[in-house]
Amino acid sequence: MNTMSTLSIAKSLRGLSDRDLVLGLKSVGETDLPRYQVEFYRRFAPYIYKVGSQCCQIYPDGNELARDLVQETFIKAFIAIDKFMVTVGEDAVFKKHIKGWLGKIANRQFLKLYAERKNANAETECTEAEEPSYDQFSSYFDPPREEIPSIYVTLLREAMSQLKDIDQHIVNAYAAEGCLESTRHISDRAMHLLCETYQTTSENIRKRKNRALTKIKAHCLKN
Amino acid sequence: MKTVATNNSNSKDPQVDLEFLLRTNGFLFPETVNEVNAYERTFGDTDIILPDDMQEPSFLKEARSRVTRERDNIISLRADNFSLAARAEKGNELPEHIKQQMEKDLAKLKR
Repeated sequence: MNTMSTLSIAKSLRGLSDRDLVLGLKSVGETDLPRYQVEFYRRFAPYIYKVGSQCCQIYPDGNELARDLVQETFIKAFIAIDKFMVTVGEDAVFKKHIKGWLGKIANRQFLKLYAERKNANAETECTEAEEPSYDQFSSYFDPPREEIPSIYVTLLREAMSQLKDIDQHIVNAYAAEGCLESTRHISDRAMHLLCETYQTTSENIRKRKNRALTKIKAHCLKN
Repeated sequence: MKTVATNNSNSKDPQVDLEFLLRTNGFLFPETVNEVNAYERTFGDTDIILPDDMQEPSFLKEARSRVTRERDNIISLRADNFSLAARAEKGNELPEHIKQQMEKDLAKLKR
């Protein structure tokens, strides 16, 4: 294929809507797939890197962690793309659906990558647990939230910074699965990751989560 | 729906959605449209420029090769395993528990 053809294909992909790009990712043949993947990466990697850099900034090798996170997120995303539901509606909203879906994937990868850095010997893959589906169904019915005063963000940052690494990791793992303030258990996969990383039991993880949550709430409310 | 604290300093018992705060303030990634909206209200929706060495996703090529190699391994192993097991067992049918164990072993390899 000559250079002009390559350039025109690249330009034509840039002109695609996000919706058509995702439809293409789900349906094109192996020959064209790499170009669609590159275009998808170009559009959304800056966002993932931006958020990832914030998540990783408190860790010693945060920059490297953020880079690995971007890579792992997109590798997983392309594997899971067939399960991503393409909805109709405004393009701007669809873009945010994609960001939310990538965010779900990124949260799982972030916790896993962090665990591997904490304990290089940890068996971080739980072969007994199912691969997460990164289902976006519930997000379509997520009601809008009232704005939260910024003072709570400041207090939350203070409270998190006062926690030990293990407790921050546990809090993030529970929050990533929507289990932080409920009695619902985190997934087997997430619990396995935590137990393996810190060589501890699930009961201890749960106790630490509850203690950390109490500390956070106490800090946020007393101020 | 969780009650959210107001700016009223006389509020006694505010309940703040910690998960929402964590996902919209750079501790975790936002996962829903609302969370992305809240995140972008705080941090803006301007994309940052990736470092030079991240501009092109060269890692995808290696990842694609890895997936293809693993898939080919799984296909050949699956056929071989069933054949070996069937020859070792009496008759042509494999017991269910053996089939399940083989599937588990292949799932481990896949990961």
